[in-house]
Amino acid sequence: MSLSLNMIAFCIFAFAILLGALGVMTSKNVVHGAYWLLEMAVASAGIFYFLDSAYIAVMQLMVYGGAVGVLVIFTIMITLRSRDEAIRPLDFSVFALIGALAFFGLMAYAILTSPSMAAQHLPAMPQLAEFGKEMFSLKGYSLPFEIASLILTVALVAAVWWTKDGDN
Amino acid sequence: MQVGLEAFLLLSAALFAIGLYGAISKKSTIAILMSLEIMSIAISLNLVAINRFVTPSEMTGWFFTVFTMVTSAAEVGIGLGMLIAIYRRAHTSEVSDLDEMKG
Repeated sequence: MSLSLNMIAFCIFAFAILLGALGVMTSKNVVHGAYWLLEMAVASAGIFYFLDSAYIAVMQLMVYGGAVGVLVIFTIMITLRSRDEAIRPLDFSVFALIGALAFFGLMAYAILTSPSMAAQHLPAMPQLAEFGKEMFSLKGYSLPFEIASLILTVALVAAVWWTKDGDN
Repeated sequence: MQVGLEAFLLLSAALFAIGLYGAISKKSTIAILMSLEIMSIAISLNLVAINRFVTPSEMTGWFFTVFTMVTSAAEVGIGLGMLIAIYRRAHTSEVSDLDEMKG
C-alpha cells in the first residue's frame, strides 16, 4: 500500500500547523493565542489522519482540541480579569531566537544528512482492534496503562489541592 | 508526488523550535504553558510519523503517543492549577514579577 498523503495535502496541513504556532508566538492578546493553539491542534489531527492514524487523530482532537483548549481559556478567564491585562507587548529575546534557530539548524542537518530509515515498501497500518489487544494484554502495555491512569489521578488531585481556598 | 519521512521530521523540528523560542522568551505564564503544548504536539507528530514509516506493524509510536498525551494532559492540568495558585497569592501571572527568591 502506498501512502495516500500527497505533497499538496501535506503542504496545506504543514502551513496550517506552522501558522498556528507562529500565531501563538506573535499574538499580543493571550486569548487570540489560545485560539491559535486550538487551530494548531486541529491541523495536527489532520496530519495524523493522513498518516493512517485515525485513532490518534481523534485522541488529539479530544485531548488538545477539547480538554487543553478549554482549560487554557478557562484559566485566562479566571486570572485575567480585564481586557487590558490580556493585551501585552510582544516579548522578544535574542538569546531565545538564537537558541531556537540553532536547535532547528542542528536538527535539519541531522535529518537531511543521515541515511533514511523509512522502509521502501510500506505495509498497511494494523487495525484499531489489534492496538486495543496489545494495549490491554499482560505482555503488552497494560502496566504502563495502569501507571498512566495513576499519574492522571495524582495530577488531578494535585491540581485541586493547588487551587483550593486558603492562604497557604 | 509523495512525501517522505524527512518532511514530517523537518516539520516537527520546526514546530519544536518555535515552541522552544516561546518557552524561553515569553513572560506570561499562560503563554509559556501554550509553548510547552506546542512542543508536546511536535513530539507526538514525530512519534506518529516515525511509527508510520519505520515500524508500522508494531505500533510502538502509537503507544508512545498515547502515553505522551496522558503526561501532557497531566502537565497542563498541574501547570494551570499552579498558575491559579500563583495568581491568588501574588495577584500577577507574569514570570518577571515573581522575584521573591532573587538574591
